[in-house]
Order: sequence, then structure tokens, then C-alpha cells
Amino acid sequence: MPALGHTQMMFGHLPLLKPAARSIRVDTHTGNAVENDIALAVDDRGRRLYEAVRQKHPGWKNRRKAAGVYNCFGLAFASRRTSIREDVEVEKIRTDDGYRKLKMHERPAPGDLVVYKTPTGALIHVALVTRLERLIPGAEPTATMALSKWNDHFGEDEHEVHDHPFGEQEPTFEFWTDRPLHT
Amino acid sequence: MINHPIPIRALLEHLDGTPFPISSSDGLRYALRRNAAVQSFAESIRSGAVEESDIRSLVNWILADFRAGARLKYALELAALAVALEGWHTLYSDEYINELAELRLSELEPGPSVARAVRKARSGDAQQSEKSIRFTLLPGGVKRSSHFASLSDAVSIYASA
Repeated sequence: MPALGHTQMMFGHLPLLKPAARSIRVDTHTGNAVENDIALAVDDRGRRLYEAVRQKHPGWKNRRKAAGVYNCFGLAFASRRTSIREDVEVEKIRTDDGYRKLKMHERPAPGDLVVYKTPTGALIHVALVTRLERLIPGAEPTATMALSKWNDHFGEDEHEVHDHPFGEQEPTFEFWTDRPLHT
Repeated sequence: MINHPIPIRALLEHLDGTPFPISSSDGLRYALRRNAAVQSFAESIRSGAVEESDIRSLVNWILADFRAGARLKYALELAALAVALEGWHTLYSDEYINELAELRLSELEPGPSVARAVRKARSGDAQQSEKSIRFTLLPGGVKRSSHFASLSDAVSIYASA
């Protein structure tokens, strides 16, 4: 495809339209700033796609309808106030706030995080562990439930950690906690 | 949408019905790269079925819907376009990815954040291919690349060998 050889800027006029970029101050425990932006209100397309996904997951328990403002990282790390989008920002939080990956023998606890990744190691999603469920009364917990805000325009649902919408990405998942080891 | 070339219409129609419940820009880039419609569109760019003027028209058409304070209807398509252009190194693909990556506009998300992920990946690819060239250009089976500070160093040493 030959280049046209001119330098007409594709997005150069946008600042003249008074866009609405808004962010809040989010710092890690050690004072490093975390880049974020407050997502705009959900539109019809977002609502339609969210409902399409929900219909494929009848086990999900809805907590909140489709909404803007925050995404999964905003839910986990910024109290539902904003969206954090980039892996490097999440890595900053993980390091500065002292999250560690649970070891094989450790059981997740409410308040821990379940982190979904692509096979290449890129982050897909983070969810907040809410409870461990005993499918057989008296037996060891066999289901880990978590709360997810799937992206910056879907809703919030509680779901079993294996019941997620990322099948096509063939994700792996791991648990992060801020609890000290051996407690 | 009716005036767009067929590959563009196919991409728009597919993405309009495809949810991407992914928050991370790197994760969304990964998902878009694996998406069949995005792969097909990238192939249309490579084959010349979609030309630079078509891309510029598409971007203008998408941005015509821009309203301050409202989510852009085809913001995901801007992200998909950045992913489709990732392996296509031309002045205009650089311009598209770099300009979009520099924007901090909530209206366009996830376009700008995915463009930053694409730019980061391209930068990594460039470094990787430079390392590869350092090895493959060397005569006499030399295996160490640490002698060369840059690609031009490697090329000049190869030329003088």
C-alpha cells in the first residue's frame, strides 16, 4: 500500500472539541502515581453486549448493571472510582502494595484477588475473591467465588472463578494476596 | 457504513456483535490479534485490498461521531485498527498508532490505551529483530552480540569483515 506522502494528522483536531479526559489521584503505598481515567457512561452497544455475555453465564449473580467509571482494576485497586488500563500500572501496584502470588498449598481467602492472564503473560482481568463455597456440606470448600467488573462498561457479577467469559483467550489464573505468608 | 470497502464493512459488522470483556490494554491487544475478523482485515491491508486512503476515510467517519463527554460509538474499532496495523510499518501506520497512543481521551477508550500496547510491542519487536540481525549478519559464526552498540555498528563491522 503506497503512502500518500502527506502528514495530515488523523487525530489532531480532537483537542479542539473539548474532550472529557478525567482522572483522579491514585498512588501506590510507596507514593508512585497510578495512571487512570474515569470511564464515560455506558452506551446502548455496551449494554447490549453485556447482556449477550450474561446470557451465556446463567450461574453469574448480578450485583450491578452495565456501568461506566471503573473497570476490574478500578474495582480491585481504586474503590470503584476510576479505570486503570495498563499492565505496567497494575505491576506497579502489585510491587509497591506488597501483593504476592499464593503458593500451591495456600487456599485463597475473601479479599484476595484472582488474576487472569493470557498464555503470553499479559493481564486479562482481576476479580475480588468473595467467599469459598462448600458444594457438599461439611466437605472442604471446592468453589471459589469472586466479584468481577468485566471492563469499563459491563456490570458487576459474582461468579465461580472458572466461570468466566475469556474462553477464547485460553487464560491461566493465579491468586494474589496482601496477607503475609504463614498466617 | 455502506461506502466502505467490503473488508472494512466486514470488520465493523463483526466487532459490533462481539463482546470483549477485557480491562487490560495488553490483554485486549492479545484478544484482538487472535480475532479472525481483525486478522482478515490485517491481511486486506497487506494485500492492498484496503489502502491508506480507505483507512483515513474510516478514521474520519468514526471521528465524525465524536461528542465531548460521550463514549465514541466505534472506539473499539480504533483499537482494532491499531492492532491490524501493528505489523505494517509505513509512515501512515506509524502516524496512526503514535497519534492515537498519545491521546488521553476517555471518549476514545480503549483506542489510545491499546495503541500504546501496540506501540510497546512494536518497539519490542524492533529490538528483537535488531538482535537477530546482529547474529545473522555476522560472518565466521561469531555468536556474541555484545560487541555492537547498535545495528549500524553491526552492519559496518560486517561490511569491513
